[in-house]
Amino acid sequence: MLFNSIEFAIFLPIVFVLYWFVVNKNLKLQNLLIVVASYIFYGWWDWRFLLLIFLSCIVDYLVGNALSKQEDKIKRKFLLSISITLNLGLLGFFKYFNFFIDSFADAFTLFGQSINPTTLNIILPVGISFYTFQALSYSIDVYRRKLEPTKDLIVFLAFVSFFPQLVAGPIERATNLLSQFYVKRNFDYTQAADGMRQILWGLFKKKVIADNCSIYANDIFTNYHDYSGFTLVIGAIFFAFQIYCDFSGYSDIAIGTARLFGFKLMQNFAFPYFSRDIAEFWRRWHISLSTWFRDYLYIPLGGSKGGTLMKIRNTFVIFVVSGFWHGANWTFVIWGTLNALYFLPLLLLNKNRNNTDIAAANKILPSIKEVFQIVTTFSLTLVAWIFFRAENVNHAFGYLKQIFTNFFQSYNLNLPNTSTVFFILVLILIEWLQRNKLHALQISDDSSKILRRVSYFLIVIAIYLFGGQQQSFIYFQF
Amino acid sequence: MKKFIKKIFIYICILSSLFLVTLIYIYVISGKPTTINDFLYHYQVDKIQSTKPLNTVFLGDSSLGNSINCDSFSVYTVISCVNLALSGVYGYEGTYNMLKKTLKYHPEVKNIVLMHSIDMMTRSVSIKGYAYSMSSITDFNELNLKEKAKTVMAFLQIKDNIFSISNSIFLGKKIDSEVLHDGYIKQVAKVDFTDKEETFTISQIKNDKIKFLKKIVDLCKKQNINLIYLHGPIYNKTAELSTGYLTEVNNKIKETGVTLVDTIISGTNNDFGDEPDHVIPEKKYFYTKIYADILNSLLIK
Repeated sequence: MLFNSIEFAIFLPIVFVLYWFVVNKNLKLQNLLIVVASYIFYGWWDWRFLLLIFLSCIVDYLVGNALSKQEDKIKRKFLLSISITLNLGLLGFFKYFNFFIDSFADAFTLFGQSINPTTLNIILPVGISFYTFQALSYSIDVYRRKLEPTKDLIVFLAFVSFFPQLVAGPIERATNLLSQFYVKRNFDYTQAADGMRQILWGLFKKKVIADNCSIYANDIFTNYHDYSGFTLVIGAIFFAFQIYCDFSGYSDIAIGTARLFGFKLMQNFAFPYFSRDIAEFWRRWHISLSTWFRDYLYIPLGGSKGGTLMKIRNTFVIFVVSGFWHGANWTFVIWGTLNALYFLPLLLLNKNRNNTDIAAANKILPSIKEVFQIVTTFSLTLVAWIFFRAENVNHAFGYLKQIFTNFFQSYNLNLPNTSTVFFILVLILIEWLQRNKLHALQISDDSSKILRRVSYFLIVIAIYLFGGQQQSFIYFQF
Repeated sequence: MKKFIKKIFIYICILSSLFLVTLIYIYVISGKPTTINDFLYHYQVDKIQSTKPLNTVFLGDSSLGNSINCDSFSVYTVISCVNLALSGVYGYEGTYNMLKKTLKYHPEVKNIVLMHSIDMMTRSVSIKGYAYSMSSITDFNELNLKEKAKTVMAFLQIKDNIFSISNSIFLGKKIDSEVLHDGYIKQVAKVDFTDKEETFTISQIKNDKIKFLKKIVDLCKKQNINLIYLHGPIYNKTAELSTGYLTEVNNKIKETGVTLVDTIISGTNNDFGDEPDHVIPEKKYFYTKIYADILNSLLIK
């Protein structure tokens, strides 16, 4: 079920009441409730998806326990390979089978031969890219002896299937989330209240900005040959805000919801569009995925140690695999490659850790230099987003070509809705002012009560009046 | 925990109260239509109550409202008629309620002509349209339980009303007879459809949409009224690209027992205004003549 749906609005209070009023005295029952609620939440899409996640959980649970009893290196590697094979195998089959078959057939066409491949009508289970990586991180951490495996199956099931973050992250580490299931949760008013604020802000970003931006962006991307380059640039900007608000909005709702139940999830977005370079952008965008790749792929490959060639290789591997993770399309691979090309110069010149604090720290306005850096970084990501959004490679190149060859055709102008532009500006302003916080509505109780309450009401009214038509979250397709 | 629950409860109460007050203002205090659709509906209902004896009544949506001028139709056919077109939002559901109202005030009516946009069968059942055109509890009781619940929900959807009221207060955009032209809603700017060819396909047909059309047919049969169904005019490229869809839709409409005129009247891009099924005002009399010629032999005089 979607977070922005009536079903979830009914589901959440029921689970909340059961959690804190019925089973709160018994930790095991609380965890069991989480599992049941999570399976209902996930099964709402398609009950068949439950079989996959359950299978993945059982195998990883058994592998984890087997690893703890096994000292032989080769056998330990074998056990880990079972987990990796199953999780990546599931992902590979459901997400990439048809892509590989079609690409294989296309390759034959290049040599003048045509083959008629058999593709399957495969439904992509929602969230598979997220929970397989979450389960994998558990197996790898147990293998590395960073974590003791859990003997409690219910705790493990709850960790993998925890409903707030199951279908679109954050991709949690067992070292953070799993341990929270062992500890009795006591209701914390401050956490819950701030969680509600975070949910509210997430809903605002999703309903008011992302859903409205999508209408404009979809029209521009679908009919790009009809519009001037200027309009196409606006379309790309709208997509940039759509994907940011959609995905970070989901993360905010997920994290906020988890806090209602006494859980702390990792921050997934840290105001990435205020980044001053690409390296900073990747420290602030989809943090749970980029750190996952850093810890489980980049560092094992050697990271940035070793020679220049190795650094280049590892950087490309990370970004291309990251692109590929997003979907079975060459556009995602190009998106990843572009980001690698943006990142490499910083890495090779040792400038990738130049901007580790926030922009305009301790100031209200950025300097001219920072503005230039922010705009440049945003522009670079914008070009990459065109590939991310395009249906295929030809579409992306066609879009870019139209921007550069027909930029000033004013009779093919299509300007966006004024209210959406207004709310984007409101978003930028609020997130800029709150850029040192975990989320934009993290307001301390010391601030004016009236101001806080008025802002909550205004946000709710904005969501009601200006919320776009219900769309599913973009990252569900990954 | 108590403090948290108490605060959530207070916020919900305040928001609900605000909502309730707005609802009361819109439906009770305001006393006048707050949206263009609402204004059109009341305008058409007033026509029912004020018109002299009628022979023929046109019911339908904007494709009808923009293409038939009844004064001219009466001259061509020598038949007294009235055009009670609502907008597409009302669908067959709103048309059904308009039919009931019409027959209540004009039992002498001999012909009912339904004209809806060709894409009507692609639209979901409009319980909202039914809700906004109900006139009594009898209309409400006709619905099944699920439809009744949806009707109640429809009255809670007041976004458009709030925007209209805000526009009226802050921008001076009042909802009055200025929104009409030649008996129907004024069109906005002309759109060029040559690059926006739309295709309707069989897969888009919503089978449950036929339900209220069947009710219309049954009511007319019961009252021995001659019922004719016509598709509204459409941009010719859309018609050419949607032949499979139109054949299937015609089959479904015929199954209800209505007399269907399956000729599709289409025109060039220049004939249509802000929508590909909205004839421009300058061509309204031309299309009225076309439909008059088609209907003349089918209507009971």
